[in-house]
Amino acid sequence: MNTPEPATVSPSPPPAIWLEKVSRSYGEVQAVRRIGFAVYPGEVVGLLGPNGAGKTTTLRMMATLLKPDSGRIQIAGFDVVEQPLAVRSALGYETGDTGLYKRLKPVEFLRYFGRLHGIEKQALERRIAELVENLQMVGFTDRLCGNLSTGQQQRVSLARALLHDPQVLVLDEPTRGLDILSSSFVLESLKRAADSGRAVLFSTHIMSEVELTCSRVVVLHRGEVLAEGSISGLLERTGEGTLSRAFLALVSQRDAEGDGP
Amino acid sequence: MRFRVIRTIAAKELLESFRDRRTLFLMVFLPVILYPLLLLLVTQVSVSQKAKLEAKPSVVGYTGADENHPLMAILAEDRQYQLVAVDSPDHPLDPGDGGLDCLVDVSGWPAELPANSNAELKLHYLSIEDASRQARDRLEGSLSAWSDAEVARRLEELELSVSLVEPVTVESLDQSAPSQVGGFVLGAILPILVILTVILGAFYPAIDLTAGEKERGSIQTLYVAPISSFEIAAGKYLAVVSISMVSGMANLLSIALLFSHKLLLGEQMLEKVDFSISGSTLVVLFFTIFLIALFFSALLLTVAVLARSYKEAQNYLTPVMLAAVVPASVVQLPGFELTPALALVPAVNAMLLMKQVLVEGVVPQLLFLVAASTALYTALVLMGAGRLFAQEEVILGERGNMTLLARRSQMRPRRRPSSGEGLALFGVVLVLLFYVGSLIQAASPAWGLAGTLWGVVLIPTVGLAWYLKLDFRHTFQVGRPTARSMLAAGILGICSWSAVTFVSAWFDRHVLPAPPELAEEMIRLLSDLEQLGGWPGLVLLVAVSPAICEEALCRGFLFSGLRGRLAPWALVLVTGVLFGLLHLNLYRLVGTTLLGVVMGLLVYKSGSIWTSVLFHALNNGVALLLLAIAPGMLENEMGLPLWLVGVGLAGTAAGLALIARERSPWATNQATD
Ligand SMILES: Nc1ncnc2c1ncn2[C@@H]1O[C@H](COP(=O)(O)OP(=O)(O)OP(=O)(O)O)[C@@H](O)[C@H]1O
Ligand SMILES: [Mg+2]
Repeated sequence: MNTPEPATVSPSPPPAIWLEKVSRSYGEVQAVRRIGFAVYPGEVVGLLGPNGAGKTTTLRMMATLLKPDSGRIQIAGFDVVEQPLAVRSALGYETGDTGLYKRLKPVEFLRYFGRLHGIEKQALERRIAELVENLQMVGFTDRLCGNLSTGQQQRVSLARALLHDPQVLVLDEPTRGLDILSSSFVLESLKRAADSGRAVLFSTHIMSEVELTCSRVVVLHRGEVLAEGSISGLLERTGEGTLSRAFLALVSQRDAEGDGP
Repeated sequence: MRFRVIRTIAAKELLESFRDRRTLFLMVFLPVILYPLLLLLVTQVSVSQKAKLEAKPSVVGYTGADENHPLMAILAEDRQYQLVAVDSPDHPLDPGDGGLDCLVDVSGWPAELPANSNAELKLHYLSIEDASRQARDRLEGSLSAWSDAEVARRLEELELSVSLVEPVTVESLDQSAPSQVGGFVLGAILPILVILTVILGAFYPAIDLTAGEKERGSIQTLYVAPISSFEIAAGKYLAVVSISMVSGMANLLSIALLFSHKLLLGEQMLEKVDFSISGSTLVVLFFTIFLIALFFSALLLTVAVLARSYKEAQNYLTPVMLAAVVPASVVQLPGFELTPALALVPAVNAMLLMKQVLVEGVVPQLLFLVAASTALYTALVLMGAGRLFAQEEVILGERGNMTLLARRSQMRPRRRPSSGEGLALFGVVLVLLFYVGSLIQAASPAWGLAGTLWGVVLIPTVGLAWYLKLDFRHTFQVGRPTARSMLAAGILGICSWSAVTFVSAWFDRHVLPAPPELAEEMIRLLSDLEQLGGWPGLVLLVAVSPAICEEALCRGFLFSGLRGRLAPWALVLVTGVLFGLLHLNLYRLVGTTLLGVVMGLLVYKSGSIWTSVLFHALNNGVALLLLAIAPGMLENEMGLPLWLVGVGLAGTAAGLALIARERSPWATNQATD
């Protein structure tokens, strides 16, 4: 009954992120089941879902870290299985797990990834200076990454994801462990990236962030897409007043169906 | 593969390693300072110990004569001895600290010795004590001098010349140049020391760059950069090789310096032995270290990728390291020299090359062979590493599952074991075979063999499958095979002895001749087997039991554990080689490995273990039969009519053609299922 409604975006540009009937299991655990949705340039989309819903799995498949068992995923028009290197060039991926190298300094760390991305030397130095400025990392570029605070590390990590100026940003709980200043700063950065024409998809458990930042949301539950659409659309559909309540309603309604006979 | 990327990765890994005190410690402190210092200490202590011993007179007890006895008179004059009269030959010896170093019983030596008679002297000593051995050597020297003088005296009395009893005089003159002697001594210690340093140098970075990175979570970051897993593997490899090479060379240099400055040994020693290493030798030695570093870095890195955590990696690598020390020490045995065949054996070849360079100098052809084969093995291992780096497990590393150590009640039922569980089981069975199996087979060849197969091979295999809650159907792949694959297995089982005997006979003749005891041992086993109740018992024990027990392990648990982790050809090859190793017999390794490969092929193509069980039983049965008809086969004489061999070879070809046409049920989706 709840196949996702097709995205109601004008015929315009091709999707930057596009999934079709994607499934993935770990041994006997079916983590993601035939999911599909799309994200377009200029959008910030939130990926919501309770613990174990399959968000990380989905995002990892987009980042070519995991292969889908079946279905297709395209990032900026490239297929994740067929053209993984092109996908990685077009994608900025960041999670709490994309750790830093503790014995490198932030600038060395960024330089390293810049080289791996094949950015030419002067352009790279300029880009790093720009990111250090924009992400307010000036105070700690000379310390080893292992000695930075969580929020500082998160900035370095975000700078790494933005380094090669990717068309698509995919982030798994980018604000986990951050204080309110840092998280609103991160969200602002994402918004700015979308305003300059990039597609942004991020997962989170914090509904207020979604309300603030996202133009659309995708709700995952037990590995399936439960709902997809604008926030106002979701509120309307569930008849609730806030996104949190709408989310709870959706999930518990589905659980009741699932547990029934 | 882009070299720019590989270089970038290597440079970054090196930078990070140098910022780590542990690496520096292993790379600089140990090889440059600690090892040479220890060597120096040990040599000096043993030299001074020896000098101390030589300076001390030996305390010799005597009984059966008084101090006027001619022997005592001679000994008493000699400052080497301090004589003590004791009342009985049973007087206890207490060498070293003032007690008796040895004791002479002179009762068989009358004080007045008639000219034509022979006296008898009993010398009691303790072979385990240095002081006592030294006293014995001194006494023997004095006695033979006395004896020579006595012979000369007696001959003179008879007016005869000494040449009557000594028609020839031997004088040995050592023609080895001092540098060769030095090289010989160095050849004995340097390889093991340098190899240890090279491996230790690679040990820590190999773990840090793989399992360590998994544990810290930064590996995911690397995998979202637009670079291939082969580039990652190559970059990390380059870093590990550099570090291990630097520590090996630093070690060699500091030892060479130490030796050439005569710090190690006393002056007299240095007249006979020249330890200095010439510049050209040093260059070749560096090259050898480079080869050793190439190979072991690849090996350690590949093994370390399999581990999910630092700890686990240490557990995996330690046995690899110990295994490397074994060839290093074997190589030092006299008589082991670099031959063209040994130049093809990985690891051993480079160590032998090092020894050869030190003792005899370089043989360019052999140097080339060693370099080429090492490069080949390294490339093969690296290709494996590249594949392993591409595995999703590398990225999912944070989910460490040490299922083997968990309690059964906490386990989820699964279809089949993991590759780690398969290999762990194999390792345990191998060790059990070595200790328990050989023990009970020594007690009773026949019953021991039965006990080994059922108790040591089958029970642990089935037991572990039960403990891990594995699905027996999938773990032991007991599905039903097609009629065609069973037919192929049957034909091959009856015929492939021909090809296998052929190959192992060649191997026996040209590479590694089996000692004759091997054949005798097998015949002895057979005669013992007949006590089992004749042929039915024999067939049950030699044909049916291995077919069930060994297959459950090799083509069951191990095979299903590795399936999907390895490419089909690698799966068949690896299980085949492991099956060969299981027989714990170097001389039969080639033959058994070949059989293992055929059985792996059968199971892979048919998807069913029954094909290899049939093959195994028939093959062993036929071997038994042939043994009864033509025992000469055991000595690889192939005491069989040529037509029979021809039929066997034709049948083998037909069977292989048949199975080749099967389509493996796993051919399409190996990763899943
Ligand atoms: N490496 C793995 N091995 C086995 N099962 C896994 C693995 N990774 C995830 N899973 C399982 O897959 C399902 C989806 O996990 P996933 O991490 O994608 O969820 P998530 O939505 O990111 O959850 P969270 O909000 O807690 O981060 C879960 O049931 C989880 O237990
Ligand atoms: Mg998650």
